Amino acid sequence: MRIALLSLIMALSVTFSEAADIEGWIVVMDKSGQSPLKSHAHAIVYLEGFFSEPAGMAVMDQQAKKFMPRLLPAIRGQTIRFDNSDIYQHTVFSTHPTEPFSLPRYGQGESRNVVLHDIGPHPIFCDIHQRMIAEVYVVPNRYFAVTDDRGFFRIADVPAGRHRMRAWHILGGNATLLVDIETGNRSVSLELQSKKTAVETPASQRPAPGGNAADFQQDGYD
Amino acid sequence: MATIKTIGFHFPFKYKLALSITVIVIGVLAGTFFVLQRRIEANAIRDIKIDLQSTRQIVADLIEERSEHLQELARAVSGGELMRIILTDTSLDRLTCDDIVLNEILPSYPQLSTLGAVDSRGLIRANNPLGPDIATVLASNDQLKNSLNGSIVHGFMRIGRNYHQIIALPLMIGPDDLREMLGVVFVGMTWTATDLAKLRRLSGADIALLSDDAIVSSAGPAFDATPMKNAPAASSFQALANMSGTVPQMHPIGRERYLFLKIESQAETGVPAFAIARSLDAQLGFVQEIQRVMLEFAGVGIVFGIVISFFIAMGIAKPIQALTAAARHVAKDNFGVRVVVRGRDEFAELGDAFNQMIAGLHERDMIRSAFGRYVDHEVARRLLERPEMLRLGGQKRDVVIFMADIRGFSRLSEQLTPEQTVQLLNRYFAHIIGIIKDKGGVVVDFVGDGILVLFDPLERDMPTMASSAVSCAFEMHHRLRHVNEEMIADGLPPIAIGIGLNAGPAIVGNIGSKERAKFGIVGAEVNLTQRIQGEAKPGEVVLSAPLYDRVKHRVRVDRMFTCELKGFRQPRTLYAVGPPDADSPHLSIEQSDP
Repeated sequence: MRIALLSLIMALSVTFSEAADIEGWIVVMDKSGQSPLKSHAHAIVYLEGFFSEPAGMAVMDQQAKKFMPRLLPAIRGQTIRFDNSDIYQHTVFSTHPTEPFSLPRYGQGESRNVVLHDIGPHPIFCDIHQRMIAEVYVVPNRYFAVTDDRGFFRIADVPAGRHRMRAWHILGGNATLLVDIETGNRSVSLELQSKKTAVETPASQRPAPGGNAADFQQDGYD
Repeated sequence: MATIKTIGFHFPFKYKLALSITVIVIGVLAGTFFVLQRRIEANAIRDIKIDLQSTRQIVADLIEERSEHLQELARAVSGGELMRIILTDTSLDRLTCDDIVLNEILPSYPQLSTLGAVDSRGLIRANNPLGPDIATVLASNDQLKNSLNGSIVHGFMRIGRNYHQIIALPLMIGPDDLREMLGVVFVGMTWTATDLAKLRRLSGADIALLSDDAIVSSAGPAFDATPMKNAPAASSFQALANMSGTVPQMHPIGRERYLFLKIESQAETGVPAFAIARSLDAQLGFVQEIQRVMLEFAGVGIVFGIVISFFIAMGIAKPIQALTAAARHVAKDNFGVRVVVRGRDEFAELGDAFNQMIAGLHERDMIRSAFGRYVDHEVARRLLERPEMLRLGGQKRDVVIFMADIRGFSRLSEQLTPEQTVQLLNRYFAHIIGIIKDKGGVVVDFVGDGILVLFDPLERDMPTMASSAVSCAFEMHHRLRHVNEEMIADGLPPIAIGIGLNAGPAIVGNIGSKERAKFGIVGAEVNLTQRIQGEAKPGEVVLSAPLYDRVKHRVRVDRMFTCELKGFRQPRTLYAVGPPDADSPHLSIEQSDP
């Protein structure tokens, strides 16, 4: 009840106050902290301290044995729909320590819904396909953004005030920043250091299509 | 003439020859085998060195193959859901994870000794409780630790008496553009003594895995026999420490020689140090077999060689012995002996030549004997030795001429039968000719009962010959006493002789024609000697003055007289002489004659 009241107050204040955008750049460094990743995508930036009611669904699709997108933001309590656009059957499960779930396998064109409440990353996998991984990041409110490859993000219409902004990357790097929004748009930059080892392969260096079954889907089965 | 004598013990030639042939045969055999053995050994060492390098490559290849195999196994293990669960589900406790590894995964991979998983934060999520501890692996092996950075790493880990070959495979997940590492899966296999034994069977070389120059595990007697297996002895430790990594080195183990090659640990691959060895003596086993067979053959060959060489030596020695025996017979004037050597070789030719030589000697001896009966032996000897003396003609030189005659022989011969006369003369001449020969005189001629003797200073000087001639005369008188005693005993009458001697120039040579000739002496001095002899009374020795002058200090003068001699115008002084001691025929030697 208290949370709902606070959310209402915040919503009203946003409605009636001067709003601004927070935009910025996130640089993701590798585990050693010495080199930036080639892509700075798959990082989420969101504001902490208040909640908002979700609207609509967050959709995670499965195509060519991949979760799409790699990082799906979902507002706490929001219905998350797991579509299957793939020609293969998939299962979806999470090994989240407090809010695990498991969706039995289902086929192309089918969907399953899940609602999550624990703020933070929920890693999800497929039982059948070992390489499939994605993160559903449950955020408290609608003020969030996901970086593009350049690391750019923009959170629009942020109500004026002092906010704590949190950033998290799928390789475990995270940071928090206090942001004052009193005099208009704010531009920030953050650097995140990965906690996991990863291998990046730019699209130009990947094998030519046709090498595996996923490519058949991309080429004509969708 | 000096004679060179060889000093040595008596050892028959045939044995010497047999021994020599045997020694040569043994020497050639031994030398051949020695050279052969050295060459084979050098070749074997070269081959072993090549084999050791091949073995080194085989070991490297096997390690590489095992590494690839381990990588495949690691991918298989990490591709399974269970491993992903272990790495992603943080709600699983360690005990459960270890149980999953031991009882759910490993039964499908019984060849694995090591299986463990470390998450991306470096926390150990699971470990085979019966295998090496991953914590120890990570703590002691920086290379394997690097796998946490996303690299596939393989390395070796020594735990107790075994080496574990381990591969650390990062488990990557996600789409191609960004694959994140869930963790690292460690899988490993043990290099057991059985593996090394297989490697030994494959390569033929003994092998040992090392750690700090001590043997961790090994296969093959080269390392089993070393005292350093469990607790390295200082010497063995030193031997391994000093062993070359590039050039194989010889090192004896017990009675066997081994070539060792030590391969140092490789930091980039984590391959531990190991040593390989091959037995030179095992490689040369066939040589030892050849040696044994050769020794057997050599033993039989030596016996046969001795027997055969003995017969060969006999074949050579027998003709020589026959020749030696024949030569000894010939030396004893037995010319009837003949050497029989069968065959057509050089020894047969030598035998024929020797027989021809005996025949020649026999003929010559017969000639000499026959010749010597009719001419003086000394003359015969000279004529045979110097054939040029056979030519007609002579030489005029100073000689001593000796003539003796039996006094009253004509009257005596009338009293005796012809047989008795001949018997008397033969006995007389037999004695006096012997004396003449002993004194170096040459019987030139017999004239009835008289004898003409020449003392030719051809080989000895004139004073010596003069002394010999006078001594001969004294000896003849002295001997005649005994001869007369014998003749009286035999019923013959005693005889007495008169001897005349002269010295002077005379012609000595062959007188006559080509068809018939005789060795003789002619000249006035010969006639003079005959007259002097006529002046000698029975038992006297009468010298001419020239001869007396040569021996006057060594004789006793019984009478000196001057007389006219028939055929000579001047009277001559003559000396009837005798030996200084009436009982001895010898001349005085106290004073030298001119």
